[in-house]
Amino acid sequence: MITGELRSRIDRLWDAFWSGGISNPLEVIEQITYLMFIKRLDGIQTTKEHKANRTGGEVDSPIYSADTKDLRWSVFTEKQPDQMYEIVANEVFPQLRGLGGEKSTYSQHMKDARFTIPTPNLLTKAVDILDELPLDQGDVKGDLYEYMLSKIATAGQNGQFRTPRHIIQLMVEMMNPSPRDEICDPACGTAGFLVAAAEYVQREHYDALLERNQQLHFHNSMFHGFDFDSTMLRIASMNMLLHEIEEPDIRYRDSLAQNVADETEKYSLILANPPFAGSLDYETTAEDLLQVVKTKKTELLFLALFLRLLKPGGRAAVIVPDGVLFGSSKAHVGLRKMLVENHRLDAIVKLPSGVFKPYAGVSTAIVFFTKTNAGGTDNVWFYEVTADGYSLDDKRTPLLSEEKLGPRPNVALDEADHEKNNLPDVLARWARRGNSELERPRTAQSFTVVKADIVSQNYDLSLNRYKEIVHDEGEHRPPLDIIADLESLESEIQSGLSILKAAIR
Amino acid sequence: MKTNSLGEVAFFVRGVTFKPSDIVSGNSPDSLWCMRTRNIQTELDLSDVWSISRSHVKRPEQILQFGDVLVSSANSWNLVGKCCWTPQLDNEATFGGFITALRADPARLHPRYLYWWFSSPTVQAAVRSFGRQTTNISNLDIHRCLALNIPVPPLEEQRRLAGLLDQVDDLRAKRQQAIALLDDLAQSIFLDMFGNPATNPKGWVIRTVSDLIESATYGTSQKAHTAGDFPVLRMGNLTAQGRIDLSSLKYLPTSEVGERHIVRKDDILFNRTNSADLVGKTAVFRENTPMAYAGYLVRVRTNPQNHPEYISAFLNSRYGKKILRNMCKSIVGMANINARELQSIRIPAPPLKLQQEFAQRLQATEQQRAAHVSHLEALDELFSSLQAKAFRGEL
Repeated sequence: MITGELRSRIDRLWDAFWSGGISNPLEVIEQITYLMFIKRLDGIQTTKEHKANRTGGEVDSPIYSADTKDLRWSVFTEKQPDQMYEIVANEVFPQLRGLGGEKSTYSQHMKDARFTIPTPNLLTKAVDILDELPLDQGDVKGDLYEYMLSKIATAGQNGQFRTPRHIIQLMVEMMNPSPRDEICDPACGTAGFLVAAAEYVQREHYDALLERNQQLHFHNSMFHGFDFDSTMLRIASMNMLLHEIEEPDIRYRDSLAQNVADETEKYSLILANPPFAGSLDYETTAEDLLQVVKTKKTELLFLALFLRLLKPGGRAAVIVPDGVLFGSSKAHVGLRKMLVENHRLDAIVKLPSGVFKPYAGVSTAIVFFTKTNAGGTDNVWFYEVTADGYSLDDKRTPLLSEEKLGPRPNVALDEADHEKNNLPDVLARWARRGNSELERPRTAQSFTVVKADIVSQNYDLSLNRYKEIVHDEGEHRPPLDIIADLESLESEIQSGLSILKAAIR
Repeated sequence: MKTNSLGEVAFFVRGVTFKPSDIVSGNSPDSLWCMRTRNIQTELDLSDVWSISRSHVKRPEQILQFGDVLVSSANSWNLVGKCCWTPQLDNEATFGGFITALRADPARLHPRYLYWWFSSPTVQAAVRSFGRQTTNISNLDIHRCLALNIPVPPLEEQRRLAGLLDQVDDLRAKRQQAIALLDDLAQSIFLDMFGNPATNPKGWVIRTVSDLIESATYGTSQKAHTAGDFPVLRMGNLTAQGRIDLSSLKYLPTSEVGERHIVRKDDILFNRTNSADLVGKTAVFRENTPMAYAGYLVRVRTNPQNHPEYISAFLNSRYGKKILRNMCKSIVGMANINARELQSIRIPAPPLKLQQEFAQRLQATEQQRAAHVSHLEALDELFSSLQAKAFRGEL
């Protein structure tokens, strides 16, 4: 969590861009990302030089030569503003684009880098503030970048919007990724899910990661994120880098359009909040997805995609719009039937409809399933989240103090806190879904439904279909009592009017 | 009558500033209540009161006093100046930065007289017009308010005038109370005759709505206009209490209205799409002149064995509302209940004779209610007239 001084520095950086003429938050993030990257290149070079000095040898594959030393952050930031601007615009960025030939994830996404900071003045300000930020401190720098990302306060096109961190954390906690998982988010955006999964593994499996092969896996083959927006890819890879994942697989992939063949059954865990807007044409949709489900709806196509991407035994936690759960088209019912009959549908967690505010008021749920190819759905666990710790209006103000927010708060929540943040309860009850949860009545906040009931409802998965409501008997007064009250009111009004009349006359 | 500038006989006290993080629980030590914009309703609304630490109160005068006029001082332009009377409170209280207290000089001005003067339509309109608008928030202009002229008769006379207005106001409140009681009465008659549907104590046969009706038809999707010859009912014409409100109508040319889209006396109208709170609003159309109805409404025609008032009252009962609320499906803020789902609702089916008897009792209650409502309107008119006269010195 970024607070105090650090936070206000980032806010200042943001303001500088804003008043300097770049008002699109995505563009601001992108330009900051480039600058951070350039600064980091200088840092890497310095480390290499130190190493060479110690061993007395040559610098190993240097980024900068004697000719290009002026392009180093530490050198150009010492120049006059005009001169610096000149160097960055005409020399540093062309060099940055040239790095595209290298195979590292980060340099790859720099190949079409464009410098759009309009004035030397703004560049100077940005450089000064970035120099003050602790960009080399392990845990801080990732949080710092996340804080910047939280400022992307506009919904993207194509139905993308930022998934709140605490919902991501809930999904990760429930999925409990192990160091051996291969995790994929086929619509990764800024890589929020992958970063949270990485943080979880680092925290829960610290010892396992000390082992060399595990470490290699963690840095090179554990995390896979796809997107078809190159800005997002740049941001996602920087986000991963700042969370100390060295070579994540973040790449351009139009998940619904490209053939799935070479990705089939490669991943053991999928965490995603795919864009659910509108529809695609059959022509531009991958053939092999249409074979699973013939539909133009992106949210259904994504579910079909996840089933293809998962290894047998692989698990998925996916945010879907409510329509997926009750839609009555052939494709909707077919896909739900597939999840229930051919695989194992584990749970539906219904989210309150304000979760994605201020971007969208859409109603959503998280679907949890395991690919088995052999069925296995016995009971489906339902939970109705009514509060996630924040107000459900456009402001989304925290309802509890910092230490009581999120799915794993530092202090235990009492009954009143639970009313404001259900997430810890979701996590605790999820762990008991095979035991005590089976006994809970359908009037409770969570309950399980046997498969036969779901089949008889034509695979409708909306929570309301199964939830039973408690009807209070409700005190009601007999009509004659009420009439007696009316009569006495009437006479009071009558005498009141007479008194008034006398007073006015 | 002698007048003074408001500033000569009263003064404004600005509220305290605090951050959202300064809000504490009501029982924490050294805290006090803090009134904010939402507490200022016709009367001081204490259903949701925040507390803050006493340390935010910088000056003793910022403690709220009995008889202060609480004024909303930063609000949208049409709400600036909205005010309420401060009654005797159980707790010590202050007020936030968007609120200003108007306090009378007790030697010159009777607080209740000040309240009725400040809340009168003319003064309220003047105060709104002084509002200084920044972005979309308008701010109370304290200096121009203080320069307003207020008639200041002797204290005894002020007390008399305020007392008269209080009397009429009291009568209005009683009338409103009576109207609320009549609404309870309608519910109570239903429960008394048919029992609570949740438990069905009288053991009626349980059917579905589809068994009790003849048809359920969606309304016209034609866009209605502000002028035309055939009135069209839209979802706004159905009140949440289950009545039809004809105060705002739109129209279609008669040529564009087919029989399918016409609602006649004793049809039920059901609102199939709205926010989750309002979806499922139901009312019986009791007018003699037929009207058209819009696509978000469903026209339900009862079959001859059942009475529309019974079905409508069932759907409007607390039990019915709960069922509707629970069955609606919402996508992007809008909730839906389609005609098929409406027809699948389980409903006790008492004999027609009893349903008719219920409809008669309901009709009698509704007639009473209409009389009460027009009486309330007359009292409102009387109040306005007295208020205007009081401050012109004509009373």
